[in-house]
Amino acid sequence: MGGHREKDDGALLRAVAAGDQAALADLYDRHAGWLHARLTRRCADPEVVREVLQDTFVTVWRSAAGHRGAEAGGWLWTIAARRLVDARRAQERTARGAPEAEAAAVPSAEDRVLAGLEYGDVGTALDRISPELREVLRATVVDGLTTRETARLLGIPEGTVKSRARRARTELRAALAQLNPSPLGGPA
Amino acid sequence: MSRQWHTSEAQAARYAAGSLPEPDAWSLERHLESCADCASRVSAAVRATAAGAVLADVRAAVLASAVREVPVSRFARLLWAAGPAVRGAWSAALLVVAGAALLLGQFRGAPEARTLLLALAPVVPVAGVALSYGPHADPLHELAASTPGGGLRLALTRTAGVLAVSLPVLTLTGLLLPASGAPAAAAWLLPGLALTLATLALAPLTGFRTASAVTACGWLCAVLAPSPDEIGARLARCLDGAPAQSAWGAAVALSALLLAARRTAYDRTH
Amino acid sequence: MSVRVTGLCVRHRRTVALDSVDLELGAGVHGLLGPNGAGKTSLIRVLATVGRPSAGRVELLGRNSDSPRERSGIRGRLGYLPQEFGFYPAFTVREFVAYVAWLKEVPADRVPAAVERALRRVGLADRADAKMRTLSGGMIRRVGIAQAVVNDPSLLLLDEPTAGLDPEQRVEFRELLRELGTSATVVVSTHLVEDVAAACTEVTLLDEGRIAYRGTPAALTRLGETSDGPGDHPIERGYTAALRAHRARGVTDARETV
Repeated sequence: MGGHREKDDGALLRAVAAGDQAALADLYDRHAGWLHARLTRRCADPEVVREVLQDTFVTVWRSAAGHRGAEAGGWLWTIAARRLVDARRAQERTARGAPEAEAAAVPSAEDRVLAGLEYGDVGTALDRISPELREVLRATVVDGLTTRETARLLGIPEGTVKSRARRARTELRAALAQLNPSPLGGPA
Repeated sequence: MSRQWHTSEAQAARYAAGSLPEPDAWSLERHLESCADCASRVSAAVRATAAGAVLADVRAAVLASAVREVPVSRFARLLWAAGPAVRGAWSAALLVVAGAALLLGQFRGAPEARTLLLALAPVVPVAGVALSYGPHADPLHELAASTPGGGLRLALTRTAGVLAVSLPVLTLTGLLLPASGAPAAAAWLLPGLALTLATLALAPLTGFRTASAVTACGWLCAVLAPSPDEIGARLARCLDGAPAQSAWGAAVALSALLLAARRTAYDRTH
Repeated sequence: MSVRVTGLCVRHRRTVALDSVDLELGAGVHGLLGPNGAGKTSLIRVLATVGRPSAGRVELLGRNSDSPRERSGIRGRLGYLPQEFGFYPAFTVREFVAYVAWLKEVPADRVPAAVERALRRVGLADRADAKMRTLSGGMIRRVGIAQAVVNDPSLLLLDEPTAGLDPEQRVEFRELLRELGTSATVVVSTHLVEDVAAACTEVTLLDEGRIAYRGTPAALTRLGETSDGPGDHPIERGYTAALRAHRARGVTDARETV
């Protein structure tokens, strides 16, 4: 965009891994803003958001060497989302359900949501489903959290997460069918 | 991942202000995970909001915690890596040996005080090494054996710790004692070093306890037995003069070579 | 595959601890079950590059653990909690974990943050400056887990990690296991079948130095539902059923060879 060519994420991460503080600062300036906004949309407590953001970049400083790949954004969000869940756990050490195995595969309707998200055609369908179902979808599909993590983030039992995810899937499928009678094609 | 669109300034500003409706925000969020240009644009927009102050604070905190360590703390870590012996009973034993020699020299005015000290001194670091490394001496050995730094590097670090404490203490003690014909106070340094390195070279074969017992007994037998009253003469033959000292120097070099040749044996323990 | 073991034998003097074991493990949490003396600790020690195989080939993280040069590469990416976990009582928790990070050759500038994170993961951040000797048995165990994960290992070996933990700590520990298992290969030996049921993606059952059973916890549970062996939970019944089936096979094998 601008006149000067900036280093891409991959180069920055390599520099961070080599202990370059300036690269960490660049990476922070590029990504901290949107991470903060994204965390704020998911957590009302500004102190927690701040703590999670700081933790995320401290982790990056420490473990950048272990990350392969050119794009940092997805990785940063994975770290931040896990930290947010951890922070929630620390905050509310309330009764938790009996441990059980993780939900197996991601349902196909969710895959379609994921595939469609960048192209906007699912937006209308999402608008039609209720907010609490949307919240569950956001955590599991957009943020890539497991059932257990979603339960902790939203402060609801795992069973509820599962049943809401099922309902969301059904409603979404219905809404999609209304909007788009043919199965959602792969991106052009 | 293919990308047909990028974030507009207006969209970035709405997201930053928290007013972008949910489905659009989701698309944007997924997009930001893989598009550095849009990530920069949205982050700049967020900095322009009230969150800018928080972002600046966190930035300072992150950079402050990302400083490289100062050399002092690395030195401190080396010191406490020096091992169980330096921290424990061996240090006490070292002080007892030095103190006893001083007392002997001071009160009885015994001329053999320095001779006795010189006879015992080379064994002291060997004992320190035996008490510093290996499954019997180190409660952490099982764990250390599974780490890249737990083999020869750790053994050498601990040996260095033992030598750093024992060499000056024993040599200074020797200097404080009346000379009365005994070898120079520093004459034991090369033998001490040679015995220590020989112990290290032998240890992978036999274990640390046996290795140190062999080298220490070997020295003590050579110097003390068979007739304890001729210690002075024998010690003088062993330590005095350039030929004796060069022989010890050669022994040091030989042990070091052996140790270097056997270095890989250190990362296999039993 | 981060662990590839073929024909592994381990002998201690006269006794055979492991008898031609073949095993392949990838990312995930692998439970190692078996009666006392089945060879769990011997197997973990070999995987930790501490125990020496009498025969067989052990490939860890794509490297041959028999070569000194490659072994040191393996060790940097290893986390190990021995069954008998020794420590220095005079060290603080932070010093101790930092010391292990030093042994694991974590770059010095990363050590403080790595230690903080490891302690947070086991819920000991608030005890970082306590002396080791003041800690309870469960806390010592958690320090043991923290030192094992301080270098973000690709291969994590935990020998009886839940011994001494109270029920709540065990539940939290299983969550940590699941999290670690998403990116690393985690091998946990335990005698608590419910740990395996709750946290593991795969179970390997050892008996008298041989592999008696391999499968998922769900499959072991199903085995328990269809059998009437002793045990309070289906998975415990599955455990005893698999063990008996293995021993019965051993007896018939023996008869055939006689």
